[in-house]
Amino acid sequence: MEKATSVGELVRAATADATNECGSDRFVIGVDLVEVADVAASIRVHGERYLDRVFTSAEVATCTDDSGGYVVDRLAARFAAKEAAIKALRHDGGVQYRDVETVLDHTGAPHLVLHGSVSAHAGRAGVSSQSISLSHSGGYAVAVVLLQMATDAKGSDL
Amino acid sequence: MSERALLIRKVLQGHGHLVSDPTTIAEDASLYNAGLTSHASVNVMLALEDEFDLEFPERFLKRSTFESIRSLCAAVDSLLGAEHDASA
Repeated sequence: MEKATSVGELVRAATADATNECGSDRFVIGVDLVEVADVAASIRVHGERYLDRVFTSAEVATCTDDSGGYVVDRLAARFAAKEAAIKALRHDGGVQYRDVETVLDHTGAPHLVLHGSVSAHAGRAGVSSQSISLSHSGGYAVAVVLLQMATDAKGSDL
Repeated sequence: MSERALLIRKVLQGHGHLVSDPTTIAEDASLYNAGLTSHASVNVMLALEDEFDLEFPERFLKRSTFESIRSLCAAVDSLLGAEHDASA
């Protein structure tokens, strides 16, 4: 627990310092780290209700193996992606985690798809493009989200 | 201490994975400073829904709702009040 807390502090610190400008473009990043065992415990305790509240059905399908078992490290990476995106968007207006979805393209590369109020917030904030990277190893999953911001966005507080 | 706050502390004890003892933490102390992660807050939300037979709508699914025992009490009070009003 102590180790996880210190890692969490590092992640928060990295996110806080992660807004930079480069030329005329503006970029914002968010990062999050999740313990895979925590996701496994949530599935064990709350079952389908946890999965339904947090993940889209497509995400769950992507994280289910041929025998019907959940690939928990992939689910943990997708939870990290949701938190990383919320951090990058600086959005605290109430978020359904299902509204931040990770999808895979034909090459297997992950992409973010935003829905509902999160998509509306991103539009108001002037998000013009986004990129995501996921990884998992050693019992942890991490996601980094990079947002490119339109410099002439009205009402952006990012 | 209200019965509702005691139940919230019990939920935090079972699902919050805090580094501080949730049975003794101050009502206005930051749960995030006490070790609550965003993922653990989902577990707390689901457990509170079970405990109080309610559902957290989107507008309550934000960091500030889970900031402290006091803010969780306010959220549960609001949701139970809303349900009571709807059934009246």
